[in-house]
Amino acid sequence: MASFADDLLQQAYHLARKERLNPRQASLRRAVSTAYYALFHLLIDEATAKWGIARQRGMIGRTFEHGKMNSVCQEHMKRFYKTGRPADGVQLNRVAEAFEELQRRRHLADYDNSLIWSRADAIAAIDASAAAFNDWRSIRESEAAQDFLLQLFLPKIK
Amino acid sequence: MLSLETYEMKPKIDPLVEKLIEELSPAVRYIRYEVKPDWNGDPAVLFRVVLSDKATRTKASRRDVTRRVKDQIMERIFLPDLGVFPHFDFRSESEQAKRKDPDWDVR
Repeated sequence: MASFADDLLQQAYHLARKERLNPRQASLRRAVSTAYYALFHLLIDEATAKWGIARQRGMIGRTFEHGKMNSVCQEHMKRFYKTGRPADGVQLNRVAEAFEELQRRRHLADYDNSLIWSRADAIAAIDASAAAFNDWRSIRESEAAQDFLLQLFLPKIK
Repeated sequence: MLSLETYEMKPKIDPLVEKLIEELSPAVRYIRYEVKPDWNGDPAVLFRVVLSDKATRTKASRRDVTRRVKDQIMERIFLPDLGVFPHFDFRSESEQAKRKDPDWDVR
């Protein structure tokens, strides 16, 4: 069964391709926003799935904050480049980068009425989210990926 | 008109951008940038990168050149710790020719 995050990703593509000619800005902007939320929910689901008591997972999921997750991703990217782009960190860095980038695009799509989106722009954003899904799923059990998930919602550990 | 933040950062960023264009030419045609707070209010710089049509012909070639630009900018411009976080937007020459967006125009 597809997860909620997978459904969102599929819905993003559906919205971006909804009108065959002259796509509506509403469809494209909702598509970009949905591509971000797909990745947002993928990471939250992955983190909360570790919690043993199923009925409490939703509650834990609601503690995740967009701004905090963005800061964690930026910090992760800084570390990645400062340590010389280690080969075993490439995929996780791409996930952090995609999250950070999609969050910016989601903000533009939701609030900046002056920006005109093309279908190519919207599809590129969704492709970035889809690529992050693939990257994440190939490294999800690694120690670095698990540490990353923990950082996404824990207060900064000194 | 340039923002005050962009004006102040120009002496630091311009030479690095020029060198980068030289190295990544002809895939990278030109780069515009703007320094302004991001949606969180944190200092940020947005790079608008115009790529050649040839470099963007396939998804793979586009991915390859955008990866190289991001890596180089992150290492050379961000790492010297300018105190701003870089964001990127990419567009091909023909996309820009069609959209005629002044923020993306060559100077």
